Amino acid sequence: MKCFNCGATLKNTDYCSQCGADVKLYRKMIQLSNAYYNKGLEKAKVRDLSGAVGVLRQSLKINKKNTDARNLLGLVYFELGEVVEALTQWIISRSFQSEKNLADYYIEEIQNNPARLETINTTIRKYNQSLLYCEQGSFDLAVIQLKKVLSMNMNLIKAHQLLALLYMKNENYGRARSELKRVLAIDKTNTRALRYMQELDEATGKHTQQEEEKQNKDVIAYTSGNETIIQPVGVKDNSGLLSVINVVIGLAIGAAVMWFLVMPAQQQRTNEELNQAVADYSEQLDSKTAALETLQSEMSSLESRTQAAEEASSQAAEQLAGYENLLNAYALYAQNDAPGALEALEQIDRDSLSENAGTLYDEIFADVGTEAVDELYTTGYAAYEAGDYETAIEDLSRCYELDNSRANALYFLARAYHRSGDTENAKIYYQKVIDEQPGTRWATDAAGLLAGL
Amino acid sequence: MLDFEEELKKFRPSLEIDQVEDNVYNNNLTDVTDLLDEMLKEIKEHQ
Repeated sequence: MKCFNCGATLKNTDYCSQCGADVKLYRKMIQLSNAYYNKGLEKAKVRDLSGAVGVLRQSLKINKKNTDARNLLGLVYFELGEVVEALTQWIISRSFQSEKNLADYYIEEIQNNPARLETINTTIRKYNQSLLYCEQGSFDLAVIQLKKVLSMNMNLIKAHQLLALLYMKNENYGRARSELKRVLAIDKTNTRALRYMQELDEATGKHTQQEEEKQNKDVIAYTSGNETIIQPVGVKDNSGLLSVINVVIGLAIGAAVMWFLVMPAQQQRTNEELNQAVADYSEQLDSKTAALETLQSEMSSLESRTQAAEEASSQAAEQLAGYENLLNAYALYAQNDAPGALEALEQIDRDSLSENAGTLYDEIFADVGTEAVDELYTTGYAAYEAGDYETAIEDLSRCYELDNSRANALYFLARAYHRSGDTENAKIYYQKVIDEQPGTRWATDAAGLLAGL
Repeated sequence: MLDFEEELKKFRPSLEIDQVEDNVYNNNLTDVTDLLDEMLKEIKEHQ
């Protein structure tokens, strides 16, 4: 210890041996300053940083040259994120003790790391900017800026506090509490943080407190030996029943697992198998259907071919019959049996004959036709005259069919009907005579006879 | 209940690094020892 008056080293006396100044009070003050420093050191060790700042400031008020206290104060400021205040204290400390001073180390640590220094300066600027945003009412921007600040300097207590305040304003109490907890993790007795926390508790804690009170009413706490037992009120020991209930619940959960997990998987597998089987059967059915369609088309083709063959066969049979009839007609023609030949010719389909056979047909028909018609008229008329009207009608109608230009055949046919008593047919044929042979005597007679019917 | 506006006013801008020097000079370093020294000087003058 040195004399405050002359700077000489003091001994264990109350007076300076060099200048004679009374150092008794001075010695007491130095001791008091050191005591405050010790107290500040204790507080800093348990992270009571706000308390440490207060005590260390007291120490320095008593003795501004207490470099240990000043260095510690700087260190505490640095921990609180107040780098400028820390540097200030360390620079002042170095001015009082230029050698063997811990402040030199601290200052060099900061100065030798320009990037770190720049980061610190940036965080300070951003913090100031966020304060400006708050003044302008741009609280959202302030929150964003403060988050950036804290991402660069987690220990800046002021930023945490301001952010917590902004969160509280927005009633985002959870985040506010989180920020305040970070502050209290750095500085356990931070007055502002504790006050904000109290406000938070008041804002959010009423409900919680009521719940706690309710919970407290629902339980009984008592001490048994070294253990504190908390037992709910009104709850009996139903461990046996609870075991049964638990087993039932377990079974229910197992059944639910089976129902919701195992069964769907099994059902899905079964469905897949069924779908596969259905797909296989569908494929088989398709192939069978295709085969069936092929067979049906073949069958229809065969049927058509059979039908064509039958038609051809029928046609051939008709042709054959036609040729036989032609031969028969020719034979009758050769025997001068004109009506028989004509009857045979009538059974022949002219179109089914070949060209040569057709020519033969035409020649026979030309000869036989006229002859047959004459003969039929002759026999028919003879029968008419003889009163055999049935034969007359048959032959004359046949004659008219073969040659409808024969007016006499038509007239006597009508007459045969008339005389036989068949007046209906008589009227028809008289009318035909009138229509087909107008202006002839046959028509005049027919008209007269028809009028008489 | 917390008054947000009033609380906000309590937050002051931080000093930047280049303001350390000004802060050092503006720091009031007077302590009790200075007061004691001054008192002793005054006593001597009176004597």
